[in-house]
This record gives sequence, structure tokens and C-alpha cells, in this order.
Amino acid sequence: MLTLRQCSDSIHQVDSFCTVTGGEIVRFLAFAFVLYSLLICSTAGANDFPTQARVEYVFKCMNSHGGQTYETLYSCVCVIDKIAEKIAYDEYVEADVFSQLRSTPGERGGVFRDPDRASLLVDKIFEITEGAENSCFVGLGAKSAN
Amino acid sequence: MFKRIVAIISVSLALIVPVTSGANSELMQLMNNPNNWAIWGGDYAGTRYSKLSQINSSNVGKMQVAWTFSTGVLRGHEGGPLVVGETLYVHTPFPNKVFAINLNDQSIIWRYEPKQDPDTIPVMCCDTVYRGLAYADGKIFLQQADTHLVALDAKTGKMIWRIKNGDPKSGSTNTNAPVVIKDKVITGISGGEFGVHGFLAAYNTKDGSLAWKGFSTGPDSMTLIDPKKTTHLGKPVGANSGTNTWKGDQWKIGGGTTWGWYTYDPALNLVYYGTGNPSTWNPVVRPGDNRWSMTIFARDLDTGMAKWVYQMTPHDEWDYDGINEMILADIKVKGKDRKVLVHFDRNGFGYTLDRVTGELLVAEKYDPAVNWATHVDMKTGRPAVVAKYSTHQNGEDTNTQNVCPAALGSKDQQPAAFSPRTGLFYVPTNHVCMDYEPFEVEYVAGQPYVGATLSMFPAGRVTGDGTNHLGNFIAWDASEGKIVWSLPEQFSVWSGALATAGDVVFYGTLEGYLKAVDAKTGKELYKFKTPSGIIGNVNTWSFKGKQYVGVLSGIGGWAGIGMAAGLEGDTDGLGAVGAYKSLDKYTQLGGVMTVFALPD
Repeated sequence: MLTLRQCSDSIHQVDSFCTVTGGEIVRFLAFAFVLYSLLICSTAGANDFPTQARVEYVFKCMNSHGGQTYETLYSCVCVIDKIAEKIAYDEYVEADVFSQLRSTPGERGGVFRDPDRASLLVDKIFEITEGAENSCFVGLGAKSAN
Repeated sequence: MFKRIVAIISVSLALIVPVTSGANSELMQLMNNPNNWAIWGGDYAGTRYSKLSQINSSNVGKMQVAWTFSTGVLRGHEGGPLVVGETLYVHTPFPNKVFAINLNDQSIIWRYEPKQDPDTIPVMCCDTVYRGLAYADGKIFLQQADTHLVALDAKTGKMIWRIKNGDPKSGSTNTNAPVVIKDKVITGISGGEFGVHGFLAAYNTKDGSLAWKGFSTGPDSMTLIDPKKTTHLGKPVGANSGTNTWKGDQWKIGGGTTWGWYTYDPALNLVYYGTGNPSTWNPVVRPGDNRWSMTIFARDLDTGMAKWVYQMTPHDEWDYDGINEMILADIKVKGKDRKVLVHFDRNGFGYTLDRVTGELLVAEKYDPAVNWATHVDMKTGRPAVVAKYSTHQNGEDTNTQNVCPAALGSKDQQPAAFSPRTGLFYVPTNHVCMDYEPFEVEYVAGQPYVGATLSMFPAGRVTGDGTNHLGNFIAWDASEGKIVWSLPEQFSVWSGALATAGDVVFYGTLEGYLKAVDAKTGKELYKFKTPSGIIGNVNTWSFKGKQYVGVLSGIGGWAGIGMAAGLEGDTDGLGAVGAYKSLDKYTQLGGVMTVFALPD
């Protein structure tokens, strides 16, 4: 369900600045589908984020990007959907714990800073989030609001 | 004549008995009624077991969040709420606020926020945690971080008395939950990283005056050890056992702090607890066994005198504090009914001792990765240390590699649970190893006195089994010293467990999940993601015929999304102004207590 919507979304964006014939559309759709399969579906995670996780992310994201407006809502929904495509939920949660708890003071914090897997996952989630934010216009709304 | 004497004695006994034998009779009654959760461990034995069974292994999967309460404090939330009748009492990390919550409508009846010197924060080694309150005789006892022990009126929150238990300027702080037994409130001290001289203290509940104080190290007059009567594995310890295994005056800054949990056996009138690491961490500069750091103590409640001691890790070289909880249970060991004390030490061994005599019955590894010692010698009680993992033998400025467990132990303070129905202990554990390098430090009061650098990693890197998880949740047979089942957890489990008569075991994870598993098989039955990592203890109670399960989430630096007081206007939540005034009556930003129940 979600996958279909995302595929059609990407076509919409292209559609809006192209005037094309029926044949071209069919060819384009076929091309887009192949492209989608190669670029997105092949690297996709399980797209298994629970609703609660998506909603929490969206609220947190809105709060840190200028508050609750439709602009931030759209951007943040876009980001979490993209993150969910790229990483399985359990791995995302693990990465989140490492990144949240790196700054835990004292001896205890070491267990979140020292393991190799900690840096690996923190870097991974950072890259995915950065990529998603760039393509979802995150922050533009907040800037224009100033 | 003889008859008259007997009669007099009987009358005297009758007069004395109600005062001395009933270990705070009101509190005992509250603990016996499973509708309450009146003490940190559910009972004096620290079993963390509830007789409630409305939520059970066949319906726990249907649990829902019933209500939440945000504490308004960030930082790590350890411990759990107390429930007495219609009131729930919950505490926070520094500044150690206390809330009394009316269970009828979850409104705040009163709140108490102590003014504490913020200079206390830098001398707290491991986040500004606090593990909870004690209730007795219509009073709530609060052990503040700055060492003030406070008695509050449980109905109004008004302060009744306040005393000082230590000096933060010299590195003393408190993180422990006090415990009330008879007319005394028992508390300890933190600050082993600052060379604090550890002790257990009993204050009179009436006015806060000191009844006794037993130090972990020092001459017999300070340790309250009788050289002839106090035993170590059945043998009298001899004179000044608290000084003669230390070099010179080192025992004065010897650590042996007491920041864990305290349990009590009313029949034996003994209080049980463990002492922490000797200071400094660097073992090279403090030769000897460093008695009685890393020790299980059994002290007489009335006098504080030590009946028996058992040192688990003589001459600690790894910071394996012995402070973890002592769970009291009556189980069969080698076919014989025994009154035992079960203790999962940071050093990775699960100990079963006879709690009457201090006899060592079982000492086995509760994480197979443990490698610093091969076994515990059952005659001497000493661990057989493996030379290549001895940070002392390797010396200063040598990096001792691949030691298991890491300094935070196979288990830290988060208390385990015991179910008399299954006879099993449910233990939240770490599965972490370390590289450890001691270096030379000088002691300055109020400054960290650590002297070691360490680096931590998953135990799988040492065992070579290809795993990378950092924790396990296990079921343990304390009669045999065997793991019955073990659930790998991606992160160390720092949440206290709860076992119930519904044959469900609950615990929290650092991802923020509250999990319910089958007490017999370990099968996962339920999980729910709370707003932040869980390092609190799961507690349960019943109100108006409905069973509830509650746990604090919130861990240093991670506050979830901080939206408890409504999704907008978050920053106003604390100030309680304008439109948020009514909201503030119900909720505070920060760590969150999540309360679960079955739907109607």
C-alpha cells in the first residue's frame, strides 16, 4: 500500500513539469518502475515502522524544525517514510539508542560509545536522515518563517 | 516464687514482644496486601514478586497504556513508584522531587521539591539517579542526592524532620532507596570513586537521630564487628579485620560504599546488603584483600553488629562493586530446605548463601562469558583469578584486554525478581567485556579517585560466537547455579524485574520497551515502546479491583520527545502558568511513568 503511494508520488513530481503523450507516459512509467526497483526497492528496509514510531518521529521533527505547521508536517512525514524505506525498524531503534545515549556520563556511557557497532549504526542513521531531510525540504519552512 | 518470676517474665515479654518483633507492623501489613507496592522490593525479602494474577500469561498480550505521568526531570530514572492504598508516590532523579498522586483521578495531591546545592551533581559518578522512597508510619522517607535524609508527612508532603548523612564536598552523595524496619530507617552512602569511607546507618524514624553506623572498613569499633562472634564462612574474623588487610591508613579512604538495596529477615532480625569497590580503582597502590569492601554484610537491626560477612572479590582489580541486591528466599539446595540469600554480583558469579550462618552454598557464573576467574573455591570462598586478566599482575599503564565482565559488571544495581511459583530468579544482565588500564592517582577529597581507563564492547568479541548483543535477560536456578533460559537483548538490561502470580515476568529495555515474558519459558508475550530508555524497576499494584503495572522511563540525555504536557507549549509546562495550569496538575515534562492495565 505504502510502496504504491510512494511510487506514484515520484511520478507525480516528474509529471508536473512534463507535458507528454500517452505512449511516452507508458514508456516513462515502465522506466520509472525499473528505476524505482533498482534504486529504492533493492536497498529498502522492511518498511515495518509501527504507526506509533512514525507519529513520534513526526512530532519530534516538527518541534525541532519550527513547530506544528502543515509545512513541517509534510516535511517530517516525508522524512520518516524515507527512513523507514531504508532501514528495518529494529535496526533503527538500535541506532537511535546508540545515538541518544552516547553522551551518558561516566563509566556507563562507555557501553554506548566504545563498541564498533555503535559508530557504524550512528553513522548509518545520520546519513540516511541527512539524505531524507535534503529531499524532503526539511528546514526550509522554518527558515521562511523567520 | 518461681511461678511468680515466670509470670513476671511472661508479662515483660508480652510487653516487649510487640515492640521488637513486629518489624514495623503497619508496613508489614501493607506489604502483605498485594494491592499495595509498599517497599522497593515488594517485601522485605526483596523478591519483587506480586501475588496479583489478574494480568497473567494468557492475557498480558492485551495490555494497554492506562495513564502516564511525566516527572518534569530529565536524566536517568531508576527505581519505581510506591503504592499505598489510594496514593502513589513517585520520585525523580536530582533534584529528587517527590509526587503524591491520587489514584482516583491521577491528580497530584502534593509535591515536594528540595532545594539542593547543584555542586552535588559533579560529584555523582554515574548520572544523578535516585532509586526511590520508603513509606512507614504515615511518613515518606526521601534520601536526597546531597545526603539529606528527609521525613515527609505522607498526607501533606510537609517536612517533619531532616538530617544530614554525609558531606558532598568530600564526595559523599546518595542514590539509594532507604528502607524502614521497626523504628529505624536504614540508608547507605555513595562515592566510592571519590574515596568516601562507606557505611550503613540506621536513623530513628521518630526524629532522625542516629541509632548506629557500621563502616565497611576500619577498626572493630567503627565496623561494628565482633572479632570473636562475627564470622566469615563460619570462622571468627579476628581483631581489626577492617584495617589489617590495608596498607597503612588507606582504609580511611577505602570506599566500600553501600549504594545498593537493603533487605531484611524479620525472623533473624538481620539486615543484608553489599559493599562497593575499594578506592582507588588502581589495585597496584592498595595491596591486600581490602576488607570489607566487596562484601556481603548481615547486620543485627537493633545494634548494627555484623553477624557474618562474606567477601566476594578480595582485592578488587576490576571495579566489581558488591552492592547488588540480596534476595531472601526459602528454597531447596542439594535436597535440603534452606533459608538462603541469593546475590548476582557484578563480578559475574551468582551466589547462594545460607542467610542464617553465611555459609557459601553455590557460586556459579550467570553469564558464560565471565572469564576473570575460573571458579570460586567453595572452602575459602576466593575466586580463582586468571593471571592474564589480573589488572594488578599486569601492572600500571598496561592495558589488560578482553576482561569479562566489564566494570559495570554482569549485572548492576537493577534488581532481579524471584517467583516462588517457578522457584526461579529473573535476572537483568550485561553481556559486556572490557580493556582495562590502571594508572597512578593521588587522593584529593571531593575529586574523582578512579585511576583506570577502560573501553567496553560486546562479549561476543571475546567469546567469538559471532554475536554482538550487549545484554541478556535470564532465568536462574539458584539451587544448582544454572541458567534455565536466556533471552538475548541488544542492549544491557538496566531495568529491575518483576515476577507475578500470573506467571508473567516484566522488565524494561534501553530501547524503551516494557516487555512481558512467560515465567516458565521466557517466551515474549507483550512489548510496548515507552518514550525513552527504561532503567527503572517495574512495579505492580491493584486499585479498585484492577491490576496495574507501572514503570519509569527516562535515561540521561534522552527525554523522548518531551511532549507529555501537550504537544505544543512544552516549555510552559514546568512554569504552571496560564492555560497550562490545569495540565500541570496532572503532568510534568521529562521522564515518564507509564502505567498499564487490561482493557475493561
